[in-house]
Amino acid sequence: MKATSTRKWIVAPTVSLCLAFWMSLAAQAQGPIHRLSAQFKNFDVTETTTPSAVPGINAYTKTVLVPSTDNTLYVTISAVGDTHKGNAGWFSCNLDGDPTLVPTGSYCNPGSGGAAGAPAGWLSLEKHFNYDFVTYNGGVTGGDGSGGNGDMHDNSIQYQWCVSVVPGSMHTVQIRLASSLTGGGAGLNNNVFFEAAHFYVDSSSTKGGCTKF
Amino acid sequence: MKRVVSPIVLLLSAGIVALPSFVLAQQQQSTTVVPPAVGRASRSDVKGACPKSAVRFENDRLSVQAEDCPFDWLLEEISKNAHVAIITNAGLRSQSASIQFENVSLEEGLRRVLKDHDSFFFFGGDKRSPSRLKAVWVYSNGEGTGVVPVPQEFWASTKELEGRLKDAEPKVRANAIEAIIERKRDKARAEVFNALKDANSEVRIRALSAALNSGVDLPTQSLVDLLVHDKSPKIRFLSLDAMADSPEGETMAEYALNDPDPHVQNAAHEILEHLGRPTSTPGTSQSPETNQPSQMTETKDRN
Repeated sequence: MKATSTRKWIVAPTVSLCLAFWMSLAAQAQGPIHRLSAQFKNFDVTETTTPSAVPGINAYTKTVLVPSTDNTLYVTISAVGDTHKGNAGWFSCNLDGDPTLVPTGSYCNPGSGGAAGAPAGWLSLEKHFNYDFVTYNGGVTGGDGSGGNGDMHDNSIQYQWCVSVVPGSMHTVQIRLASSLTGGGAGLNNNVFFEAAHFYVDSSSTKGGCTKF
Repeated sequence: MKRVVSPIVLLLSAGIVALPSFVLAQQQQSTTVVPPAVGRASRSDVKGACPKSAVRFENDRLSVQAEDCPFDWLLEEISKNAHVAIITNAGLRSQSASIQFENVSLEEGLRRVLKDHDSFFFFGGDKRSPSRLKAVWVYSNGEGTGVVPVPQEFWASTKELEGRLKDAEPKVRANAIEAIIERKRDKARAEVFNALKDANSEVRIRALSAALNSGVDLPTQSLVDLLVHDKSPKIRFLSLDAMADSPEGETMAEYALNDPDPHVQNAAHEILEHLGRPTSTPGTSQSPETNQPSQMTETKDRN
């Protein structure tokens, strides 16, 4: 009994200290990735398509509550698709609306890619040149659909954005699709497509959030 | 939003087998905590094994005379005399120690005793007194590499966590309800219901989020009440989202179309669109195609 009493006395200070215990540094260094949403669409012989220029159409939208531990959001599209007449399929990701349509909205990344010619905030994720069938006279024309020589079915679309967010905040994630209208001009078949698409919205605690390298 | 790995698993994988000393002391379970390890030889037996040994702590100075003594006995004596908690893992029990020094500071003395081990020294203080050494964690050499402190929620007893549900600090209450839900799962319903009445919205949000992600079976009527009455849009969103696939999902989504918060409205639109009832989505997209859904999704026809 005496030993027990002594033990309690000795450890009593620890009760009021909220002493931390210990865990693996490797386990703590990176916050876990939380999958907030996993959805698919157009797995039923339908397609998401538009002939419209930027800002295009709302191709996917999902409202999420970011966990209070996380400061970085990841938005992923994984799909297949094609385009007509050599148009590029342009994609953008935004939080709470396309900033050209909704003043409070913002692009997941407002920057620009390479020589695709997509506006800031947009990326060309599918593009096949509408090749010159004079040069390739005698070869196959019309692609393998009815959308011109550049209509090739199908090609992989895979992209993931990261974006810094306030922990515990609520956002409507949106992916938009637009046509480059570079396949022959307005009035022609400018459709761009995707189908068999998966969408994922994830979050994590990341040092500094989504930062420029 | 589920945790990838249980914190308990993480603790075990880190080689940590000791539990907080005060918990085990009160529960009288076998423990590796020093002072005394319950279930081992009595102190008198151990003392008999090294009769010429002595540990003194006077005027904040430590003196040790130990000759081939059980290592955990030595740490126990230092702990008892210097009033510092020393927590070890099981692997140290079988080791013996021989060391002598006189009249050194507690920190220096422990450093000498633990020179062949990994250790963490915890210095704590308060506004009324200077910081002092309060606890030491001891590991075998190399075992301490790559471990960091974890919050009390990971190792406190469930009874202690339940006590914190009434803490004055909202963050403490939120951490406690999350930890309780993770441990008790569906058996935590009573605690969840109480937490959902908390005056602080962050406590309610974290409680509901944890409950929904841990499989706590909340009645639909409770979710409806939250959607209709809770002042926090995040609570209303979570409750609506939880009902999305239920028979009430469509009705509640229609109700939420008129929610004052645009994100809750957006979630309602998403649910209705999923149910084959696309609507224009205020606050996000006002594109022409949104109003012409037939142009968005077409049946494939040699495109």
